[in-house]
Amino acid sequence: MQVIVPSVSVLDCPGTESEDAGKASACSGCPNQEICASAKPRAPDPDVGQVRERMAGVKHKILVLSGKGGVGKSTFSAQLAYGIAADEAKQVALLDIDICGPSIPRIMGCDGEQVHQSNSGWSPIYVEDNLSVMSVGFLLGSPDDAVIWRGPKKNGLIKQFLRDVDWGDVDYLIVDTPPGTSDEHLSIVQYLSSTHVDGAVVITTPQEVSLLDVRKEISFCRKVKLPIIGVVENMSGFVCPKCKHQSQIFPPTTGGAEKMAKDMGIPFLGRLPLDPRIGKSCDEGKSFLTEHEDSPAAAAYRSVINGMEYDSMIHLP
Amino acid sequence: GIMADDILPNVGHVLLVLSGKGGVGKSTVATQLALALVEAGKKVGLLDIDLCGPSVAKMLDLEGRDIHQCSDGWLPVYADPSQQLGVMSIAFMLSHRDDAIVWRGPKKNAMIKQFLTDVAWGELEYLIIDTPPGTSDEHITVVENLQSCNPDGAILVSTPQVR
Repeated sequence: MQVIVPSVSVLDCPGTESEDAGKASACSGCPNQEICASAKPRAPDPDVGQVRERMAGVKHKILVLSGKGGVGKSTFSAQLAYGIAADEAKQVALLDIDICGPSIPRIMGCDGEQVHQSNSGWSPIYVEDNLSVMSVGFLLGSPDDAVIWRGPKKNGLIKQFLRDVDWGDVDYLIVDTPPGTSDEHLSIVQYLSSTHVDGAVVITTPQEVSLLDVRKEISFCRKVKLPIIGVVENMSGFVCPKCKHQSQIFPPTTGGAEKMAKDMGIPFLGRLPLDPRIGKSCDEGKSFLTEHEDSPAAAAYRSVINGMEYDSMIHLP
Repeated sequence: GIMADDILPNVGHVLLVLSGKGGVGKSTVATQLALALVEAGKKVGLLDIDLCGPSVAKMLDLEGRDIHQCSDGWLPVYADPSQQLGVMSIAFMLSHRDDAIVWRGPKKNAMIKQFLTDVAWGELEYLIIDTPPGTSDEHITVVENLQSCNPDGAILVSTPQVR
């Protein structure tokens, strides 16, 4: 007689540093449980207050998420940052919390820059007077250095990015995240919990294999009570530059992001086409919106960005 | 602790499919490689240790299947009636496909260890391990635990652009 292995508890690991470590219902069955439960109780985290102070000058915070890798989170984060910063009156900050695979330095054309420390904290890298960037990429000796860290060390760095970086007064803080629903995502939500986060933009590509992961990401947002600004369907359609014929490289076999958004009751922000010049601009560290501002893809980006509603809206001309 | 004998005692070749970058085709390559080996007459296991975004079950049209337990441990989900391709994934353990596994490192590591020690793979010529993007808990844990069974190595998947 065969027994079916029961479903996993989808309850969170509270975190090894949490007061509930080892004691939460999610802990039962975890090999670490005894170690966590016997650890001394922790005092309240003083860093939470410091993060709140640093974030006091940040008006809007937008997270860019996706369950799936390689769908264009970093690309979108960068174009969003470039787009808003085109208005010189706006101060924009772009924070890359992908510790293992930081793409932002390359995309923003500041590969190879190093972080400097001053009395007021770590200085972010300024790619324009009104556009600053922070990433683990700036802390590595060489671009091939792998950051092979377990969760707790990644969490520590993310906290440092929020506590120690001197962002100054910022209109928009955009946070680019790695794929998944794990340490980095829990940490950024946890550390920003004492401040107001406007919401998350979720990126997907049209095919079901991507939507499968993205639905989980949306579940994550709901679980941690992170407002969802909307879903963007990236790499949606390819127009051949030679013959202008349109193809679907990633066919939306189950209705794509628009149907998923409708099924899950969240706003659909629109489609961004697959234009090889986008990837090229990212590899070269240039703003696609500036380099190819008359392209259909740039128009699609502007439409998606202008359609984002949280407690405010962005207006790109 | 886990004894060396407990880890994959009857597996000929262990191959990991890795990439720093997400979305380059690790799961696609791992799945197609497994299918190709089965067509060549080999007995193959395919283990998906991407706990947040497990794609392999979908790619083999195995969504909704359950994991059955026997005296030797957890039985892999077989993709074919002749049981040439056994699959293990957290996807088989979710109540609903939209359920997110929002676990921190320690709990993920525990699950991966279970996949390595508690699954009754039987005798396999090949075990292919599909991984999530990155270089973190999952990768460290699987490599640490595989040391005793001498994995053949890793297949690195990439796409052409710089990032």
